Amino acid sequence: MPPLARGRSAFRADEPEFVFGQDQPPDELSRRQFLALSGVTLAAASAALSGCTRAPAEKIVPYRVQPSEIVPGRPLHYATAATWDGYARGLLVESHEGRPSKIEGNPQHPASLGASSAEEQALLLELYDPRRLRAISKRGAPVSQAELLSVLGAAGDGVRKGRGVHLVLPALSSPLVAEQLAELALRLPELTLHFHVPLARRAAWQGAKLAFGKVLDTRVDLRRADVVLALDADPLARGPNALGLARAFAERRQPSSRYGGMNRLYVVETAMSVTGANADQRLALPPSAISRFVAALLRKIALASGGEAAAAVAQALPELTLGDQAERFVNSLAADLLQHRAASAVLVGDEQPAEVHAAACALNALLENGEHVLSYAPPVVLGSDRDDYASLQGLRDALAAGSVETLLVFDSDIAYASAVDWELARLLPKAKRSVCFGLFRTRTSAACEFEAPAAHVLESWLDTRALDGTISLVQPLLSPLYSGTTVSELLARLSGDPEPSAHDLLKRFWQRARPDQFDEFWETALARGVVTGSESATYPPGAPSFAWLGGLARASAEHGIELSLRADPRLHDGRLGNQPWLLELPCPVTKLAWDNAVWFGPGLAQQLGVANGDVVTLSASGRSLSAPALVVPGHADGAISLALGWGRDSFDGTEVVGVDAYQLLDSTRGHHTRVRVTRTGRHAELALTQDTMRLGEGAESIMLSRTLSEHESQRASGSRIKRQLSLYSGDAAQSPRQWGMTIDLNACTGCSACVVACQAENNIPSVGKRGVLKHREMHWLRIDRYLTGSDAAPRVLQQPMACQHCEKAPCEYVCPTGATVHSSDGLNQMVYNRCVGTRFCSNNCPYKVRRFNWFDYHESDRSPRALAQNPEVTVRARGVMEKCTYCVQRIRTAEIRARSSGRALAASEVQTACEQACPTRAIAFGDVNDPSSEVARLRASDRAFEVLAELGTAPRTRYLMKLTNPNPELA
Amino acid sequence: MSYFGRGACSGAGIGVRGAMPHCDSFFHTRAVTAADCFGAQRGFAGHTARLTSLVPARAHAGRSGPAQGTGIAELPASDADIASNEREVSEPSRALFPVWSTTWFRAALGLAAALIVSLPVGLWAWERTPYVNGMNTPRAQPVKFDHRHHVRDDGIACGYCHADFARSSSAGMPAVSVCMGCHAQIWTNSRELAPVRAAYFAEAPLAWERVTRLPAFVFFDHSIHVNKGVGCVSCHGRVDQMAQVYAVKSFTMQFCLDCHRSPEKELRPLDRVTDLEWSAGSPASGAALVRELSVHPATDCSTCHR
Repeated sequence: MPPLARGRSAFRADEPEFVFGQDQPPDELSRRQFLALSGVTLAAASAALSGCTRAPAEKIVPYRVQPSEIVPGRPLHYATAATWDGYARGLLVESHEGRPSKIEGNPQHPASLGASSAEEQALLLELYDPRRLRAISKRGAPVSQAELLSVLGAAGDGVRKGRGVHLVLPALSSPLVAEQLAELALRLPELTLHFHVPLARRAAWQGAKLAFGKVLDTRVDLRRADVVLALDADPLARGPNALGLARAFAERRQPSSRYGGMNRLYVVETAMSVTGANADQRLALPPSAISRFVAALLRKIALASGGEAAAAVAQALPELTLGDQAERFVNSLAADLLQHRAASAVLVGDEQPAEVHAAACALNALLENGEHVLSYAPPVVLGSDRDDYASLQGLRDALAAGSVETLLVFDSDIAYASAVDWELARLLPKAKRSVCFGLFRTRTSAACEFEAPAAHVLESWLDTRALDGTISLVQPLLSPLYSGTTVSELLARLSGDPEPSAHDLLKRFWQRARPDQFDEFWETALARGVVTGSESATYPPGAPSFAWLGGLARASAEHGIELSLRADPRLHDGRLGNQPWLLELPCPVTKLAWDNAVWFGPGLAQQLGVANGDVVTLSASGRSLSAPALVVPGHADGAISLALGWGRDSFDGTEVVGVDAYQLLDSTRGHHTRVRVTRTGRHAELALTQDTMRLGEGAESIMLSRTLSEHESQRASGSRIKRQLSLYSGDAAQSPRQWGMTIDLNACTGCSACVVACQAENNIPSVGKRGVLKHREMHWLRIDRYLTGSDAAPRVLQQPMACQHCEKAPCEYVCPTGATVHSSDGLNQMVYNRCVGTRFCSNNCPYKVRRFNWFDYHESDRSPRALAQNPEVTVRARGVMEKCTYCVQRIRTAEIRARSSGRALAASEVQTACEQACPTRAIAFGDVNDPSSEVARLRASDRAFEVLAELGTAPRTRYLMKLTNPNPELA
Repeated sequence: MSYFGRGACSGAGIGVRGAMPHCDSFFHTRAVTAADCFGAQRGFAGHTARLTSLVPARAHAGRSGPAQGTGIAELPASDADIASNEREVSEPSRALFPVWSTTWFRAALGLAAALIVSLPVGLWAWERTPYVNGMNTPRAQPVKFDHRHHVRDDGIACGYCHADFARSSSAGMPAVSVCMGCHAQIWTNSRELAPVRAAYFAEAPLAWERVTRLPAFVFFDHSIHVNKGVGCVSCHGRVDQMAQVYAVKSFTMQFCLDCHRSPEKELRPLDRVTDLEWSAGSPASGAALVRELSVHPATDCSTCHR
């Protein structure tokens, strides 16, 4: 009988229970030594085998004439700007010998401040997309440029004055285009201009018009706001100044900010947003209840403020009943807002109707939130003063009437991203002639007569303006790959210019605008990426009118479940809808990749018997759509929501990703409609990257969160970092410089910009939906999301998780080939060419941050997309482990640059890609041994903690505890 | 001891049934059981010794042949059976294989062992041959550029053409315009220079053959080496004496590490970096330069592999 099966009583008293030395490795080869040796033998054999053949011959092709600014091997950075919905965001693009390879934010630009979002990162992938249009074609067959030019020439014929010519442009704020459009209006007075902006800020502008009589944009300085109220808005992740707002918000999240104490964020919304996840107090309401909530709040604030407003509101707004929970919420909120007069901000989402925006204007005025917090200015976007801005109803009517002679569409997918009742996909062929300029084949271009390539933003010369009016020059990083046209060139052609050049058009325009010292102006503006002092003046709004109050809290008599059609936090309006980096980015709220699901609140899901992945059909006014359901804690019951921007047509045989929610967008109803929900009985697989969001026992060793008052009472206890006794042996690090990172969970909003920045910097492949379903995603940095509290009103904790660079790294002890070892400066290194893919390291990693290349994700990539890769980072092959390296390529390059020129490396010289992209500066990286460094200061903070510290791994990445500032009245 | 071991033996040694006669004739002229072949099961050694000396291979093979079922499990199951076996063995038996086959088998085993060792070692060595790593092999270039002439006769410094050697990871290959800087004036009609002119007038690019190669997973930076006193000659050899350039070093990791571990051997004053003829006066000068230039090369993996 084997000894183990014997009961304890079978041991004899004279036999020791444990034989001496049993806990020591045996004298012969231990299991580990054996594996190490066999691994080494294997590695040696395979290394030798791979060396059997001579290395292939390589060519060196030098420049013909080397441009003076280019030093091969040293990247250059150029400032330019991207435009989203008409608003600029400054970029700094890294270029290796003329090949753009990474996009960063421009620190000089007010809407970027050096940060960038996932969308900006993805522009790079869009540039090199192999599916881009490469040639002019007519009905799918290639034609010469002359044929297209003759159509454009006929459209721009001055004699015909542009009759029957319709021009569709995307949202723009370019001063050059403004001038060109003015010229065109003189030359072709009968040309009809339309702007196609699926997610326009029209409601916000019209709201300001209701309140102040003029179309206005709101500019907010959240650093000055003690109390912030977001009404169905996502200011920290969306909108023209999301990066700037997130930075300012995070500054005021610190208990000791120089602008005052920690702020308090109230969020009232339907679907959980990035902002909602950061709320101190959050209330989930269906869309229709939000305007009632605003009405109730406005009534309370107005009555408390007295004067004319009180009289107007008392007369027009009846006392509304909201229900217990909302009533308590609105009372505490009103009290808090009144207590912080002149230091609060009320923000409203673009999907809300104009009256709610007007109410926010009125609230801000009543709360005396003056220019220092909140100011107004006419929008920089062209056409914003038009009542039909972003409406294609006029185009629809003209197409239906058959009066469209020539339709010119520039970089807009009007057949896809527009209200379904406009029926543009059906009506487009009614235009006698139609030309679509675009980056890709789209539903629109497929329905047009001519398809022509447009220039990508990284191939264009143009100018653009930020929310605050700051002008940026857009300069190209390379000449158009496929001879694409820019919008300025198209407009110049229509104005009769036979050979327009975007560069000359822009330069001549600015020569006229700034004749004095033009060359200096031009060089400086290009180098800095902004035109200094070009902010536009603010507009003093005066006292708000209250004539619109009647429309605010209209009760709806309709039945059905409310559907909120939201902008997607990743894909925006679908413009970047086919870029794998964005498709594979897990949704910041649900962790769902490669899909847009219908979000249900837990209560409604239970009521309807819907579970994750159940395919449901939404039907409204004769149209229907089937999509998988996803139960999202914190979603308002009584409503469901679905993200726009997914389900773009595929023209290359690949699967359509997600469902096209524009199919339910009705121009008469806006983003909120009512639908009938039926279950289909089918089930779809959802690629969720996080299975559970609940922390069980031991939660405190993973994630620390306190309220501000709890934290302040515990503060005296000092640092919570106590070195655990470790089972792992390990040598003290030798180098005087020791790299480390801190991540401030109090600043992190979970926006996920860092994830894509890391992917772009480190040549991380996308694995596709099937890969994610098998948990094979390759992201080196992920954002873990944890929920506490009830499912109906959860509190959300976000935790960016990448390799912790443990000083005693469990992965290193189990690697049989020494492929993961520690460096003298404290990095847990991954040596790809030693790795044989045993995956022991991944199994032994308590943080589960190591990723395995199940396939050769890169080898098949012979497309232009390979050009997006960072030449400073190895492209990993199949069968190799990989993980966060702390951007070691940036560390080594900075060290080499500093040491080559004989100076010491400055603390701020090395920035990791995630740190650089982070809008809120939640990530700090540097030398932990340098007491002057930010990272050393933060590591010693009384909020610092280590994840799973009890394991004794001594992680080099430390986290700063998350703080919340809930209203004690609502606790 | 009982027959506890037998079940284990039959379980572990299966397939042995057919092999047992071979064991017998290769190792010994006496009969062998599976327990001998798999001598690890020392637990019943005493018992098997008895069996082995007595049970003839053929008799055994006959008893446990395919028709009769499952081999060793059918060995005598009790001492009484063994006793009856003992009676059977007393008859003379004939070995299946001749005596010399033992020698051959031993030789084959030795050869196999030698192969296991020599194959990886051989491959390891093969990889380091000049044939594979391209050492000492001049490569045919599109232009017969002679460094001897340009460096020695004309006195052109390395950095005139390889202009980025001190400021970039890449030393830089001269743009065609650099060639044409001189050759627009001299040798303007030379047939040898036709590819250079073609490249300059944008007819066909000038594609040089790479001579000094590193694997793609190695990130080498010229600037740090040059600025810390490592001369061109340390890696590239006497290029000024080469009619056609060839690699003089293997560029294996060992080659890199030798210098990273003891850099003093290869250091020189900064103003002598491009001097291909300079040699250190005394061994102590290297150590002095290590201090002077604050040279402390890292041997971390991520120094070169990222």
